[in-house]
Amino acid sequence: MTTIELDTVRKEFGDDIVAVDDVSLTIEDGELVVLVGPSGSGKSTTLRMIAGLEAPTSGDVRIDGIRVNDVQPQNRDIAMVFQSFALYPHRTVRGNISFPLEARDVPDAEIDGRVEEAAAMLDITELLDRKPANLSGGQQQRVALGRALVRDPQAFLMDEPLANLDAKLRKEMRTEVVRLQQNLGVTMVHVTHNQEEAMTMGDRVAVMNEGQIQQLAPPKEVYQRPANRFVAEFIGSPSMNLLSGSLSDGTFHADAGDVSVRVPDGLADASTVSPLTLGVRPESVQIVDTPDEYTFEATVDVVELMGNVQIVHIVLDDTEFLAEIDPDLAVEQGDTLSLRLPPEKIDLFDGVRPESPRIERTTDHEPSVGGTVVTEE
Amino acid sequence: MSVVEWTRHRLFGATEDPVSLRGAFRTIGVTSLVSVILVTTLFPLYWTVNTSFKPAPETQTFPPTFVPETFTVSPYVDILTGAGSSVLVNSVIVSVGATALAMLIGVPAGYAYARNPGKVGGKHLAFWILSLRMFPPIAPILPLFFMFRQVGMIDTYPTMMLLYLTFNVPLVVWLMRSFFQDIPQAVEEAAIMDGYSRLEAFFKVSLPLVSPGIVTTTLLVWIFSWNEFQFALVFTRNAAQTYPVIIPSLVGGHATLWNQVAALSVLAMIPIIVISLLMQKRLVRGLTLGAVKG
Repeated sequence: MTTIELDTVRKEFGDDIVAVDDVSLTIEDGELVVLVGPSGSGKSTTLRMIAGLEAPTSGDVRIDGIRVNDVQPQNRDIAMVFQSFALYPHRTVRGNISFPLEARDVPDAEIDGRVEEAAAMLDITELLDRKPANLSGGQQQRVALGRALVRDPQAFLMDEPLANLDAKLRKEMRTEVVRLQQNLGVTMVHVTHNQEEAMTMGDRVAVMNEGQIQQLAPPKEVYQRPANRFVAEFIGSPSMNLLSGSLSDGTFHADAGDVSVRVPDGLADASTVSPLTLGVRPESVQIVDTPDEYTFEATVDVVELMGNVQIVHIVLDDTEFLAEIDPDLAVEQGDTLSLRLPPEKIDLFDGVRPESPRIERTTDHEPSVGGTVVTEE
Repeated sequence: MSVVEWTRHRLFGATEDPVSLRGAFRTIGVTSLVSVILVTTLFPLYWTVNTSFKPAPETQTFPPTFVPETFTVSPYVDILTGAGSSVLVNSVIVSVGATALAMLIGVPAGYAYARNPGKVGGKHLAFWILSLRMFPPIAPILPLFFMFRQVGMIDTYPTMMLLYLTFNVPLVVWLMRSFFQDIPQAVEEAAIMDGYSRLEAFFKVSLPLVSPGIVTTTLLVWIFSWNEFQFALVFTRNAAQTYPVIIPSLVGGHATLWNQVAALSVLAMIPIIVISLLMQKRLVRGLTLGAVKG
């Protein structure tokens, strides 16, 4: 049983840099939580405070309810996998994996057995006598995982461990890490800047920006009900279309382009305070023949065929607007289209700043998002 | 292709091609230059060895003999039965002790600077340590002499070891600092997460990883301590006298024992050459460590 709790944890570097701004987060036993955010969002610093490699400026870190602020990292019984893998170049693969066991004075005979077992689990048995320099990136990654899991730690901390791998390998290892985590039933905190990785791996996703958690929820909820404009834009690829504008008489008027569309009843009277942001995911945008109150007209700038979909780029003054449509629809550059924003798939955000919150609908008219997360690569 | 083959090819193999004539001239130029450098650096070495096997009168003949006419090992016997053996022993004790002391102080200091840049001793301490190497060695000799004489520490082994710290510690600190900087911090953090204390991580991970750097630095420091002359001349009389001081004393008023000077020089060179050859592989790695990234 391992729960990790962060209680208003804050980390300041120097006098004016706040890396982590009063973050509170509870990671349940056996749960895989992904911290995701752009660089500088404080996700790695948060992880390093759980590890004990950084000391919080204020706030408490608790493992299984026990405050560990003053417990040295080597005594926290937490394994960590680093972005650079951080293998010991002077030791063989066997020596790398056995290293944490040697620290705990495990008898030699038992060490051998456990190293073999971990190696078998990761399919690196034939590499045991090699040095790290003679391994590929993916193999090094497996050794780093082996070193982490051989000692059966209370929790795993993963600091962008997949970022140095090529795209294909990254997807394979992603699946493998999740499988390992589920088989071992171990608590895991995984840090990444890759939203796709976050969506596919996490039981819950903590989206971070500027040292704060913007939203902590299961991936599906983060995607379908983003807490604010930042989350809406960060999660999903291509990003959600965001148009700033104002609302009057149930109709949204965008600042850019000639866009005036009706918003659903649940949102129409939500706010009349301008400015607002209207958000709609590219895959929700429809191309229709007959205009109605939910459509606007625009000219196609670029069409990208992705195989299973095609992405239509539209330029509204200085704002780019994307629509992801059926690849069989004949659309060409310069065409004028009627674009429909289905009312059940529209989100409104109360403001135009990243932290502007999403406005909840007053009626039980929840969006039913049909699309899936589209991969980045 | 060996250098000889390459040269031959350049000189004769392709002379029909007018363009390569230029290459041939370049080859002649490069070869001449290298020859000049080799002769000027190796000739003194050869001459020392040559002289060391001559009887004293033959060292004064003109024209000089390029191979000893009367081959003898008596210069070696004479110098070793004379002052030579004790000064060589002293040199070994002083240089090894001074090197060990400098490494013991300098390696942890270099590590501290590498891991906490700007924090250890503020931003000026690091420069101050480096600045110790900037003044001429003769400058601190007089004040140091009076200080050591005051505490009765002239002509002792510890005195010489301490004195050599003045120049060796800055070298060790700055060299080791850059060697440690080349070791990713994450590797140490991994060791800490694996259950080791910071100190254990240092000894089990960082130190083994900088071993080529340590070999290089040790050798540089040791060679300096082994060959140092000025401090040894002023601070030793007899008990702690090192070999470089003895050499000028053989240049006497009545006769200069060139053959014994040469013999002692050869004896002093041997350990440096042997150790350098033994360590060559690690030495080259150490000298180029950090030069090639990735």
